[in-house]
Amino acid sequence: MTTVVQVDRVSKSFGTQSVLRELSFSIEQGEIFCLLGPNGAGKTTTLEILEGFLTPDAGTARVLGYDPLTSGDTLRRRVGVVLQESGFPKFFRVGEMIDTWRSYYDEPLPYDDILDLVGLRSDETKLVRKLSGGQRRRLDFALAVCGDPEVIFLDEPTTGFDPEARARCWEAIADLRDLGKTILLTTHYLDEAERLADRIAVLLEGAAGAIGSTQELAQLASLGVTVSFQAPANEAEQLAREFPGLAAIGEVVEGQIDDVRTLFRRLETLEGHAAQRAYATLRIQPPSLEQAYLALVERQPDPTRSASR
Amino acid sequence: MTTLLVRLGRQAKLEQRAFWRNPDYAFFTFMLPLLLLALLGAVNSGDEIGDRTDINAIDLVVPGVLAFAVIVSAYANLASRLAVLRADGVLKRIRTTPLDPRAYLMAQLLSTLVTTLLASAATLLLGLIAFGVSPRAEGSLALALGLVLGIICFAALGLALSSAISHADAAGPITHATYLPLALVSGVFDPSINIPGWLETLVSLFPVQALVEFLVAAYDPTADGIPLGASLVLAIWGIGAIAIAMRTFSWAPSRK
Repeated sequence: MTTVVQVDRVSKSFGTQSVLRELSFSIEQGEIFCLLGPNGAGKTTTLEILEGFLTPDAGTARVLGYDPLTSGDTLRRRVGVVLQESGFPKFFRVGEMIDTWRSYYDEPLPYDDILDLVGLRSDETKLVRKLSGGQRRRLDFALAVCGDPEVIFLDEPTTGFDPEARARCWEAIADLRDLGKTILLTTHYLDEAERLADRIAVLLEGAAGAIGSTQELAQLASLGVTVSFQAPANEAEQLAREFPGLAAIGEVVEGQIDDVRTLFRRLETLEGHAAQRAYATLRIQPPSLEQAYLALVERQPDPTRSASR
Repeated sequence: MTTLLVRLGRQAKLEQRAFWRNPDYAFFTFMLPLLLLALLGAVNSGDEIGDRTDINAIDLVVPGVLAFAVIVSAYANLASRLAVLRADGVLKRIRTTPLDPRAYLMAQLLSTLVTTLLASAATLLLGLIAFGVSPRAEGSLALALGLVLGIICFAALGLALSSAISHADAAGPITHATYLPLALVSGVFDPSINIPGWLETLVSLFPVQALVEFLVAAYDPTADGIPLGASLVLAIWGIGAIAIAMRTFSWAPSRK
């Protein structure tokens, strides 16, 4: 695997406000990596450092091996950017914008491929100011991929979208992943991170509180799995007493446990058809990103902890 | 170099196209000087200036409005457009691409030059057709040099001012507030205006009156060649503005 983005102990302050504190993470080629955190956690600041708009106070940032501050056009040819808030010249037409942006690159994607990728074929001749919010975001994507970039930075790409526009945006991001692009995504939507990202860095007070897949974050947050099954009422109550994370309501047992294997062994000891019934109704749910995120935020773990890399 | 020029030309062409599609910019840049000339011409037509018999007031109204056209197009329009593009994040978006920033800014300036020349030509033409006023043959050099120096100076000032405007909403009020008072006391709208001596001295240090003086020299038969003082004022302001713009021009919106 090739490391495409490397952030090493980067700190950044604005006046007396410290936004990033020794933030470190790396992104491998072809990965969708998500910076997740509440507003003001430092997500956009991190991206602006990687885009070369901000200078870190300490630490180093590298994209494709280049320092974004000094690499200039060499890096910009290989990186696509969707900014969090960025307008368009309102009196350009969609097709003109895409065509103009293509002209900035030596080997751009074909014009028709871009229109098809973002689904703006029928809006080609529309003035930009007449596009809806969702269509403008798709144009954002179109401009970001014009140069056929290896790396794409997406800063809160679906903020303010309605559900349909979000779904379309997610499709576009998935399509970019299928094209082999490395994507760094920031969001404060947990479902977006869970749906799209291979790995997630939870930013807490300017540092990576934890980094990993949803499962790895759940492990870091010491979360168990959620189980539910049915058993005779007396057995259900007994099981709830034996496993502190479980509760019995009539014949239904449910709750969160760390050790599923011990539960399985115990269910095998149930008499008659009880064991068969328990297995037949057993539902096991891994912890969601939301559970892991909330647990991590509550615990404010040591910023140096990391599940991998 | 060839690529840079090709991109510059392409960008400038696109900027021109977008400019004329925007009714607000097109009206205020192109139509406003024409309307102003029509109105001021109607008011001043036939009026005399003091005891002069060689020219009428309208002969000096046309160069005044011509100066106004240059200032609105090269200065106010460029400054507010760039400020809005910056505040909206368009300049920042441009900076995420490998487009040479010099090509983008030169394209903006080239587009401004074209617009200003068109607005100036329309003003000259209206002065000729509606009021029979045209520059003297001996004043052609002053007219050409005045337009070139004026456009460069005011475009540079527009570029420098754009960085001082932090919000799109403030772009119009700030740009107009910086030139309209000077235009009023510099004889742009009323060539026979009488102002106190101290104010006249003060105003002569600013580029608005310098441009008016330059363009009036093209029409006034008593004017003597190229006004050197006005040339110097325009040159100093232009060079100063370029130096400030190079230091302060930013691509990203203010974090304030």
